[in-house]
Amino acid sequence: MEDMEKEGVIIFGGSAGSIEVIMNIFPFIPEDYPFAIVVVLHRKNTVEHHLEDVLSRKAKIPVIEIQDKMQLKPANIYIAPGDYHLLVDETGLCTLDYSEKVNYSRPSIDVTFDCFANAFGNRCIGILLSGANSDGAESLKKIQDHGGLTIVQSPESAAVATMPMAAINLFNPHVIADISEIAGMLLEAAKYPISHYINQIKHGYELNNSLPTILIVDDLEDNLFSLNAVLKFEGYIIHKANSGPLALEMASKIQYDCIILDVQMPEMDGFEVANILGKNEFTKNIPIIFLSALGSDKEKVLQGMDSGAIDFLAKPVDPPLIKAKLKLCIKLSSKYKDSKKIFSAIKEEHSSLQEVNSEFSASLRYAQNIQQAILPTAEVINALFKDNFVIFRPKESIGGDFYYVKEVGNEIIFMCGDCTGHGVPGAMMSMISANIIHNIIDTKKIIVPNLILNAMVREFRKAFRNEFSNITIQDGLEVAICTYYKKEKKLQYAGAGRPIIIANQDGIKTIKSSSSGISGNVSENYDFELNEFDIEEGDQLYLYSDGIVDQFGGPHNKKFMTKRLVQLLSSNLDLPMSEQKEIIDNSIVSWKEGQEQIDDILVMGLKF
Amino acid sequence: MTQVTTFKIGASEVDELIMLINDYSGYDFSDYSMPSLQRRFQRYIDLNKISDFKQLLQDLMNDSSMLNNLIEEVTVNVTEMFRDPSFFAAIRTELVPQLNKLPLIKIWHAGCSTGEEVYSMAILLKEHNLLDKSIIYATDINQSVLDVAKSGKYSIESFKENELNYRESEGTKKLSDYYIVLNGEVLMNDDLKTKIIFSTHNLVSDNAFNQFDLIICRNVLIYFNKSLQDNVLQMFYNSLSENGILAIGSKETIMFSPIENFMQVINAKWKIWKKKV
Repeated sequence: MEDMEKEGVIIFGGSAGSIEVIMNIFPFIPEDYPFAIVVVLHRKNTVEHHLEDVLSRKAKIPVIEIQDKMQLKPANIYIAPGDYHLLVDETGLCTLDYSEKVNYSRPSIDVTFDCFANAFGNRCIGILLSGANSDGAESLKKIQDHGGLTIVQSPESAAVATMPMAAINLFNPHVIADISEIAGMLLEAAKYPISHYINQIKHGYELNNSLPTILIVDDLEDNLFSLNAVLKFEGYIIHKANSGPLALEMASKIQYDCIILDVQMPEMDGFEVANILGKNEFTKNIPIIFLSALGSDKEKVLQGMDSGAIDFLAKPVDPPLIKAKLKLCIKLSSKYKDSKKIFSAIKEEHSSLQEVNSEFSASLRYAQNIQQAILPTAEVINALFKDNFVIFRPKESIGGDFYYVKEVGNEIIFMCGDCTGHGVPGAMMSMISANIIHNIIDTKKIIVPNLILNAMVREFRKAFRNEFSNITIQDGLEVAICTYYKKEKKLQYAGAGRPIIIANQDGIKTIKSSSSGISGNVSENYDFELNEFDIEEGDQLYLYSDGIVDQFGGPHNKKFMTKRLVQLLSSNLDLPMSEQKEIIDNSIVSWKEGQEQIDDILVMGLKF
Repeated sequence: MTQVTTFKIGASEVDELIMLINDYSGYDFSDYSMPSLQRRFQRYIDLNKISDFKQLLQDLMNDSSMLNNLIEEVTVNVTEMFRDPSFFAAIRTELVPQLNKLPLIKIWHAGCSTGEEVYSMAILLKEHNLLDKSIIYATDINQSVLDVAKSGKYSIESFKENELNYRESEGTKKLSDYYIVLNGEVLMNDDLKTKIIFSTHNLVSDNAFNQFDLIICRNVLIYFNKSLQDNVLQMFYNSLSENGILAIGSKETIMFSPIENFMQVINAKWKIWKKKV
């Protein structure tokens, strides 16, 4: 019992074609072998097998069929009995179990490997051999996860490759080895305490993971053997396939750095293999070296090149030549792998940009809510002007245009503004402007339009020309401001760069504004012109930003122009404001048809 | 296929479950084989897709039907009719002549599970005209499998295999002579049942209850640890009449047990022993 706690166990799992494997390995196991060896094979329970007898004749150490509560001991080979599951505890005490079959199997390799993984951890070497189903793959991985060593019989050396391939597909076993290599490892392992040997192989495995992996394909075992012998100390992990279909299957799971391909093979020749590899996204960039006795035949060489080969070498193999060619291929492959890495880095960058973009869109949507919250609502405007409309179409979700309507005592002050720029900078300017206007009208109680403009100039100078900064912000806004004195039925207007359109019994006309806009560069005493009008019921007033008149479009791709706006308004003056709105809206849409909107668009119409 | 990640049970959780079951039901599994108990518990956890072990403990404490389900899962054994046909052939050739000499044959199937082996034995006895003078005690720890055994009703699917087994056991008739098929279910003949007494018996905690000429206990002891196996074997020995016979599973042994020296081998392959005089 103590022996088992110090020492380890080697456990074989296999199905069809695996008896021959262990028959070839066991004769090499010496009498003083320091580990217990356990064998779990699928066998039919209806046939009386005498596996123990057959193996006993081959092995130098005792071969024992496990009975319930048998204690595993070093230098014995134990066979799991048919029709029972084999379980074990950490002392090496075996328990048989007659519960349900697992994957139609009893004994099930998965059940036993699983148990050994738990009980022995890093003192367990699991070996999965030839077989026709996928039993054992999951649990071999578990042995690896629990610190044990995993060996899979190389598919090309297996009578039936399904079982080894299932393990290779599922994870990256420590070692893929043929029969003689497995025997060699078992002898080598006996020289050390088992966990030392396992760590040694695992260390090599980790180093190996950065080594180039190559696949050699040849239907003749001797050729595989000699090629392997030539290349095995060159610092590659070498996988072998003995047929075209197996090579394709392996290459679909493992990213090889180079494939050395025999041309003449039964079932599927090398050209066909190369053709199929060339059509698959995963394999099409793997360099291929054809190796064939046909090497001297020029036509065949060309056919090989056609199917995606990098090189074509004649048999028998010239060792220095193939080593040199292989080095070149590996270089190529690593370049390709690097470029793939770069590509995936770019893809990652792109997706993180998209993320930023979507975050940005979300914050823009929120900003839009904020901006709309400072604009007067339709109810406020409707309460002051029974018939009115507002067209507000920022170029982006937020913009630099704004409008303002407020009743102050007996007066109504209203304005349309257009801050320089659109989008975020425009919106920031419009927020600052709103704040300044609030300050002037609500706090300083200034209501005369030209005085409001002068006050705005002062505030802008304060905001953007502070003594600590020598940066002067050229930006500012254009605005048309009106104050309507309800009792007197008088309208005052002053404009900084924004005209208004007024329609009364004298007709429709544009009232020009002062030429200067508002910015930190304008003199505090600039004389904004004040206009006064008497207002009659039914008079109509229009304020607008330059977005509509500057919009390109129409049959000759020209600006809309103020003239066209005035014409449009004048021919519809009799209509209620809501219908006028619709007409303006439609003409903007049809004017710019196909064209990008160049700026924020704002038009406000009021009927007294 | 999405797989539910269930809780993976370790040795300490097995101990916790053993203690809980003992506290709440009185069943003592502490001398069961750890690896197979762990496998049984794991199977219950996987079948019921349990991911939270603490929650499982809570539920088991609060819900006695859940606790019963777990105990049944742990104690249920898989079996079939005439399993290991050569074993039954050996009984025909090696034991029947001896049993024939007895005026009354008392047989104990310990851990009979769903009863397939008990009916197999009854059929064998009937074919050798021994059933009339036999009493078969069939016991199990698990009441629900005993209910199945008592009913003698089985799924018809397993009977193709059973029929093959029967023929290989050197049966002289057809297995189908011993049952009828009703609504797609096999129903064992009533005359087989009249000589069988089904009863619960816990090999862990209950004592010997009679003297027997033949004790059959196959593939039950594998679920126990060595010390419990020794205790049970001692109880079997104590329950054997003079010349009494003990048959255990073919991969089980009485070697290294306290009764080893008091038994002699009748059939080494099929693990049939006879009490030494």
